[in-house]
Amino acid sequence: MEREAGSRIDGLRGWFLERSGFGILNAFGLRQLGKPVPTRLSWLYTTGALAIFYFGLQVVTGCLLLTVYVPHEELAYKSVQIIEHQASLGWLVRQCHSWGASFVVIVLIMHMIKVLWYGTYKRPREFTWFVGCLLFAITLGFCFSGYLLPWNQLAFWATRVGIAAVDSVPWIGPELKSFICGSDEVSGATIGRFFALHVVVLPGILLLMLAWHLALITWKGISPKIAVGEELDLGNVVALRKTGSEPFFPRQVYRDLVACSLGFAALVTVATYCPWPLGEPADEFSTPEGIKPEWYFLPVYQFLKYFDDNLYSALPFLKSWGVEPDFLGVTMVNIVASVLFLLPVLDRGKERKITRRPLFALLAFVFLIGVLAMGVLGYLAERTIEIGGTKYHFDTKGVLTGSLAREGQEEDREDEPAFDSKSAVKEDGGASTGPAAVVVTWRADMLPPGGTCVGCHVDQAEEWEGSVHHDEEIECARCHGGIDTTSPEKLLGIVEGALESEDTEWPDDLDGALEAKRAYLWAHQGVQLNRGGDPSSPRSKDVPVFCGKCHETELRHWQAAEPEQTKSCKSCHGNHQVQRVGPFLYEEDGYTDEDDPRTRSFQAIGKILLEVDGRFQEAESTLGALRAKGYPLDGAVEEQKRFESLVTEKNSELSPLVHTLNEERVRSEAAELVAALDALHGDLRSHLDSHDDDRPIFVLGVWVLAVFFTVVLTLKLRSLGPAVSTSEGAPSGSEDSAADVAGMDTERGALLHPLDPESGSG
Amino acid sequence: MPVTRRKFQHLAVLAFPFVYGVGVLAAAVRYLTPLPRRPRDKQLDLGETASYFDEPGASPIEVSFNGLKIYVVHDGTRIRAFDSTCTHLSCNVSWREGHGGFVCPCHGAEFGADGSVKKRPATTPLKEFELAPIGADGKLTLLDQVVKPARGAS
Repeated sequence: MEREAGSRIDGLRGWFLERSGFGILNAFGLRQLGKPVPTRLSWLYTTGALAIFYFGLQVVTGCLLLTVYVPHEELAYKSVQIIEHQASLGWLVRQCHSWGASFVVIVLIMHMIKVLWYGTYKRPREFTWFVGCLLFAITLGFCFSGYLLPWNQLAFWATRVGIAAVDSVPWIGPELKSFICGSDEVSGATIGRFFALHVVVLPGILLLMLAWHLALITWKGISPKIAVGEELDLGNVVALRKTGSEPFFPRQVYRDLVACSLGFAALVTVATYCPWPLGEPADEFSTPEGIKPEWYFLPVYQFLKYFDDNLYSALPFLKSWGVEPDFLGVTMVNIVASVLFLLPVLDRGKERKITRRPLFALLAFVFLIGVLAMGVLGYLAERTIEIGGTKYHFDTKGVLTGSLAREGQEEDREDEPAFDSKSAVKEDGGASTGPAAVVVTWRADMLPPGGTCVGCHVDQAEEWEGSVHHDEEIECARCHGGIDTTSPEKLLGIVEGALESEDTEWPDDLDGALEAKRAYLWAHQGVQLNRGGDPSSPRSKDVPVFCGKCHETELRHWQAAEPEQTKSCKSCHGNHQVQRVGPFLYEEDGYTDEDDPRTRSFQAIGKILLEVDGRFQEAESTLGALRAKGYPLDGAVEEQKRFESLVTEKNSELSPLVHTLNEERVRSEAAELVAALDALHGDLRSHLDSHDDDRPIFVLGVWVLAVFFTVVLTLKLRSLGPAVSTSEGAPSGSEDSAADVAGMDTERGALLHPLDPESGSG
Repeated sequence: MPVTRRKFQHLAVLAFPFVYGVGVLAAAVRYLTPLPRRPRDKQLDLGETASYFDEPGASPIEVSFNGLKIYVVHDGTRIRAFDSTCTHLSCNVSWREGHGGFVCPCHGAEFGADGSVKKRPATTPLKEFELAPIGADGKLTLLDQVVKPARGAS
């Protein structure tokens, strides 16, 4: 009965294999798995399989992304936002796809280093190398075309810079660029072209090339570690086994599976804990600072930077020959790439062992170090990094231009700004209701913050340095007027006129010297005077011309509420040491006299405003929690914009109302603002709840699987016994070797023919 | 050598994939050829802004014109209009007060207020657009005409 059932199953299996054509495929696959490979291969030989595995993952994740992504300039960024924040596990799919590109490149580089190290590009595997190089180029094409698709600032400008290089192609440059972009520049038309290239054209080419590459590997075999010309024919299996070969399956397959298993876990871990920020949507009119290409293009990008006019100083004959540095740089890169591609033709030596190829080893080492150095310099270029409390700035060529600020200078006050002599950019921590993490830089004209005034008015400058005005880079001239940033040329006439005039009254401490008077005039031209004609200190009635220049709303409210002007701005906010609004203002500096009828109203308004501040801080903390989970709140994300808009409304409309001393009005305005804030906060919380922190579960699960399979496969590998040696000569007649080979055959038979009772027990 | 019917048929069969291949390729190239640009604006009225530049060192005015960001700037002698696209690798340059000129954020190329190259890697001046002669009302008008750079300008 059992025999009858077994024969029926066999019959059914035979019918299926014969009719479906799978029989032929099955036989073909089995032949490939049985192909001999050298024993004792390095683990680097798993990089090929790992690269194919990562390519497969890219296909899977790419197909998933395709279900949501829209290749249109208006919708591309939004669709990626939806993938990242709304689609279930969309973040994982996108991050795996983004990181997968880098992983493929890393593995391919390791694969190529393996080929160079073992000399396996040599005869008869020249075309395996050529096709491999083309596969690497296609992979970089994938990276370049896919990089643009999210349509964010970084992608847009990196692509625009990359495409601009096409312009320099002789004769057809502009037309070629226009053809690639679909217009004169990177635009909405480009995204469609790159999309088609990324999801249809390049995958098609890649599949064909990969098939060719694999076919060459199976036809020519994996290179043994012996000199060119000493290889045995692949068909001579018996002789091959005696000299140290074994079937591809099971040992190499098991090792490949271990590599893929661990590689997958590594990819998911990195994709989960180091998410690629989406950044801001592309803006064709605003190039962000510090645009750099991805790490795999960085060495070439940095290398080309050194081909500028300075090259003429080092090599003056270039100028006389009329050689453009840019052209020379591009030519050099192409020569290096061509040498690498044509390596099998150029390196005709028969030795494969690296120690017997000292010249090649030296050149390869220098090349790799050069590439690595260019990559590091490219990373450091135009960057300021902090090491041991000292900031170091690197210029565009990656050259250190000097240390900038020492930790000791900032010990006294954490809020004290650090100075960056190179950058004139204010770095702000983003929208904040509390004190912002502001770094004030040296001014573009290299004067210290405050300008020339701080040279004499030392006490005032010290007060100002601890103020909110200082944090916001509001300098002396903004309130007091004065020349500060104006060039002296246009003042010459005024100064000379004042010097000649007998009506000019000079301060007592001037010694009357002409130069001192000239300097005094130059420094004080345009200074705002108070009502007494004195530049030293504004009086209460001068407030409109000092504080009111910027704080118009506050001034209007204050003038309406305080017609008698018993208090001025300075009464509450201080003079140069203007502080951000806080509880102290309501408790200590404002209306505190209990007999004053305005005090109750002022204190009540204070409570309302402080409560609103508290609500804003809560919302901001929720934003921070979302950001910590990889939710990109920078730039154009709607929630961030809404929050910033509410902060602006609070600062420009609600907060100034304190000067009206009208409690009801403040309460009403605050209620409206808080309602809008609550709605936003509700949305934020809902994002936070829906973005459950399930990352550790994924990572843990993947690693459990990876470790499990690694252990199982390692045990299987151990059960196969040690691999016989290769070039040193196998103990061909030994019983151990025969047992190993027999054991592997049994293992193979059991796994490949599970229904065949004669194939071994496994 | 006479072409026999058999040979002609043989050649025709051989030519079949080439003819269709070339046809499809030609159609694909035509399809991928960039579309004609939309009609460009001939000019852009900037209003009575000439007096703005009376103050030496006044910052440039930024305007968008035919898909380009244009800086209208006083170079010390006259008012001029420059395309903000860096002539090195097409990033957008920005005006730097301290430099009195334009700086490219991508590779550090610098240009003077007159559009000339002050620092490599750019080698050619910024593209300049014509401005119509300023009338008595101080009105500035940007024209869609590129100024041909002076010979030897860099």
